[in-house]
Amino acid sequence: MKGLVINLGFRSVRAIIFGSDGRILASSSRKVETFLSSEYVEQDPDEWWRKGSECLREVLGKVEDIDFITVTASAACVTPVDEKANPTMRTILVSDKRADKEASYISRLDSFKKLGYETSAYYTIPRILWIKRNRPDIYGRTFKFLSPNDFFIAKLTGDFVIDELNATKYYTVNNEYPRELLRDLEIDEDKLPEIKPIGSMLKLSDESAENFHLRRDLPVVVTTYDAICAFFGSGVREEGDACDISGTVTSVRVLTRRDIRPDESRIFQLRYRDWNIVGGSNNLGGGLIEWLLNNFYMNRTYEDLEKLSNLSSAASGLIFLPYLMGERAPLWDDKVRGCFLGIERFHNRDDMARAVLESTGYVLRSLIEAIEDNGIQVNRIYASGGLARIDLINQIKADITGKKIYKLMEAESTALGAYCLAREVLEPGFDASPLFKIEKEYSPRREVENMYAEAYRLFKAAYRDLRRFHEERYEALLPRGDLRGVHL
Amino acid sequence: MGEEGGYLLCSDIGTSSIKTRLYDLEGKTVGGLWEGYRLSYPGSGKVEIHPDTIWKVFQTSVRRLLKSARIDPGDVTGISISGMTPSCLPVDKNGCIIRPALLWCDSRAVEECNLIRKSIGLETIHRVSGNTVAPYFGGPKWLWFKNNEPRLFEKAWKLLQCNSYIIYRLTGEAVIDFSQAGLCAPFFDIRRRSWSYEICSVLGFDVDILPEILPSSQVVGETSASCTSLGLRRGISVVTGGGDFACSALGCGVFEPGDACQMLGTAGDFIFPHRGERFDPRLVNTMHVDGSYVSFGNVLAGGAVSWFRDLLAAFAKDNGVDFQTLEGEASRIPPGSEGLIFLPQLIGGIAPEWDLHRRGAIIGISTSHGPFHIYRAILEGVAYALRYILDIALEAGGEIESITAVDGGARSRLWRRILADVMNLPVKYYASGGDATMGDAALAAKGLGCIDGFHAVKGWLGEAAVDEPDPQIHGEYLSYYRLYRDIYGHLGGDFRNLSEIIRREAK
Repeated sequence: MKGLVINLGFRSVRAIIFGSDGRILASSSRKVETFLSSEYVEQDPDEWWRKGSECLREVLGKVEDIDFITVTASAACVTPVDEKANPTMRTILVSDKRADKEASYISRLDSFKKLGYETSAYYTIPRILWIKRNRPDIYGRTFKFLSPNDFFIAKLTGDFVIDELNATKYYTVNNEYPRELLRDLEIDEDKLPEIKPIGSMLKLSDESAENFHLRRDLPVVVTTYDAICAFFGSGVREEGDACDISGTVTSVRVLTRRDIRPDESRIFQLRYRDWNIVGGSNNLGGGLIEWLLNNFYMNRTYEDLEKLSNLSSAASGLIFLPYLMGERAPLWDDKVRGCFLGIERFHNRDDMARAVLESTGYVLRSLIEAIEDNGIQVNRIYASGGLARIDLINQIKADITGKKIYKLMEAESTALGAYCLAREVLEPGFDASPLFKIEKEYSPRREVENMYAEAYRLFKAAYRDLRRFHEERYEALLPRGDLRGVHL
Repeated sequence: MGEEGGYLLCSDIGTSSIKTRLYDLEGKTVGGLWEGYRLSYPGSGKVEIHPDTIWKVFQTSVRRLLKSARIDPGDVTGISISGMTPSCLPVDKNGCIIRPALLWCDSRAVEECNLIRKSIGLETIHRVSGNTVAPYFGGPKWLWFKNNEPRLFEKAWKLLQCNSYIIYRLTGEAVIDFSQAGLCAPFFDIRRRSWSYEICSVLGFDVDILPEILPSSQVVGETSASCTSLGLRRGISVVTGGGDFACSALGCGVFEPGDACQMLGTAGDFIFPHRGERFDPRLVNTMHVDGSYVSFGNVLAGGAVSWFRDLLAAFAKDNGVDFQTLEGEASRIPPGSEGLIFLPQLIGGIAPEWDLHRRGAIIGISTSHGPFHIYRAILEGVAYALRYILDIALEAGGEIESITAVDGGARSRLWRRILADVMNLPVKYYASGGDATMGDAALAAKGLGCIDGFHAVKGWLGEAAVDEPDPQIHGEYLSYYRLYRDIYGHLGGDFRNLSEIIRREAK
């Protein structure tokens, strides 16, 4: 069964066709531009669609007779469109900070407090409120406030729908919009897309069928946003299977039938069929390695980092706290920043770099610890994304977490996850497991277990001990308006 | 005297290099060079150098200098050598080296400190030596050698310092001056100005193993016949010399209360002369080369910068980043390095913290901080550490009105500005030099009777460039300084735990 996946990431839009065995038959990608100002982080949906269409034509020119199309993209990026699915403004991306005030206003409303969501400008509703307050003209012209997934689906099918998990960014409870809150905010519920379960099937519009020379009844399957697709694309299938996906940020999620404690606020739980997906995303990803390479290893590549000594930096007393942009899960601390601790005269650049790599292991362990505090056991970890390309990082993660790490063969795990979610609907009884191939397995080494356990305790203690400093530092920098680190 | 000719050969045995200069009898440099070497770091807390390395580099320096300077080597009439201190540099009866020297920054003698404290008592130690007990001082290093390498210790005839080893090679005399003897606490009695027989006997040392203590400017002997291999004639007068810190202070005219000397070499000693009314054990207390008293605190200064330069060496080579670029880029970054704070205790905290577990840290790193921010943060972090020493010096009754910056790091205008603004004191700098070799020149000149007193040095130095503190920037720095102290306080336990990990992993 051949399926085409449109995958919109932060840096590019891609179209990929997978064959029945999960192999990529064709793929095409185009870079997309990001528009940055001090608080705004935006992209242009017209550009997405124009470049996405080019990708579609390119892969469809190589592979005939596809069986379905699905879409996966970033969540919580507000894309307002008119009746013809044409954008009424640029998309507000995840890391955009403009709706801070609206978020804190909403947080004070009783109709919000009972929903059980935390306060953050990251959610869609505060952003819609920002548009309504600051750009009433655009608010008036907007027919629907979509997520990027929905935007592509609307372009392909003419239907304005959103999947149940993407909809949680709109504060849904039991797949329903928060009616009372919307009333308090005077946001028109009709301007929100219709909520559909994952696996819903739509049909290609006549216009799109003609445009891309596709058959008219070709199914367009609703899947969901990229992090969830990447989760299913990482090979998880049993209780306690976890994924560690590092892209721009790192997402750690585990598949479980257990529930997190009601008062757990460090990590999230999403319901999918009879499973829970538990975990969260931090702020640490490829950006950390890029920072390291750009500042200290000009003109070197990821692969050069493999050559770093196998001798632990923690063993020589050097520990790095990688919070260069503050941290999300599990700390939720915008004020914290990075730190090298324990520098000695003999530490050289490679020791420092090695400490940076080791920090990815401590961060993974802290996320797993937050998950396991809820009585959910993490058994194995599937690693994918940019950092997983570095063998040394995978071994470090195994050593520090004490869990086996499996590196997947498939580079396009997000798109593969979307493919599998869609195919499960069209082909009942489909077993996705043969599609996931393990490239390499990393076992924790006993001889460093105790050392890393101590180093990890220290990693946490140092964060605690420096917390007040970071708060004071933030206050000291505040008058300069120099709050570095827009979250990209 | 000039007509008769006469030049002084002055050498400073530093942590990363030997600086050698020829001075005429009016304190004018007629030639100079430096030759680098590398210390060895055989393990956490261990810092050594083989005395042979020092001797070889000294020989090369002298030969090259005599060759390049347009003087007749026969006109060299005096020699003075200063150096890093305190060390444990044992030689046997034939003057042969027994083991590499343990250097001032070596902190292995932890157990020995406990032993000394137990057997003598902190109060007695402070009363006799004026100092606290710490692996930094000469005494614990010597005891480490005695207790851990007894077979080698048996062979030891004298325990020398780096500069006195050179003097020994030149003259055959095993001596030490008062400024360095004072750092060999608890063996030196700071009031009676002699080795303490009592402490020697409690710790099981024969006082004969300690070199004779002589005034820094006293002629101890003459170059022997073998010195001709260096290009030096036989019979040149050699003075005792002194510790690099004391010679640096003398060399920039700091020997009276009110003045302070800021070394910005590998070590960042903040040195101030006083009348010896009080010895605060948080500081290092000893004698000056003129026979008065000095106290100082220290931090790794240029050592932190050179750590960073080593770190960036490959990067800098790839990208053509040199000192000028670093300075220029770092100057454009506002005070406080946009929220980046550096703790410079890369080799542990010496005076006044006396906390061995201390290590360096860079705190507050965001994606927009790059190498230039870190460089500036290092200069500032060292200044914060020095500011703390200043606070304690003032508490201890020190009178300090201005600071004179010396050594390699003092060439950085940016660093001098930062110092002035953080310390809130004028910072002077003599482009003509005013480093330890200048202090050596003064000692040799005095020893030869060419000058009556050290006030002559002030004449030699000429005009200083002065950076006055900017009150507004000082205010900004004060809040960063408080943050620095705050972090310093909060991280103590973490550093202790870190050193536990290292200790266990080293096994």
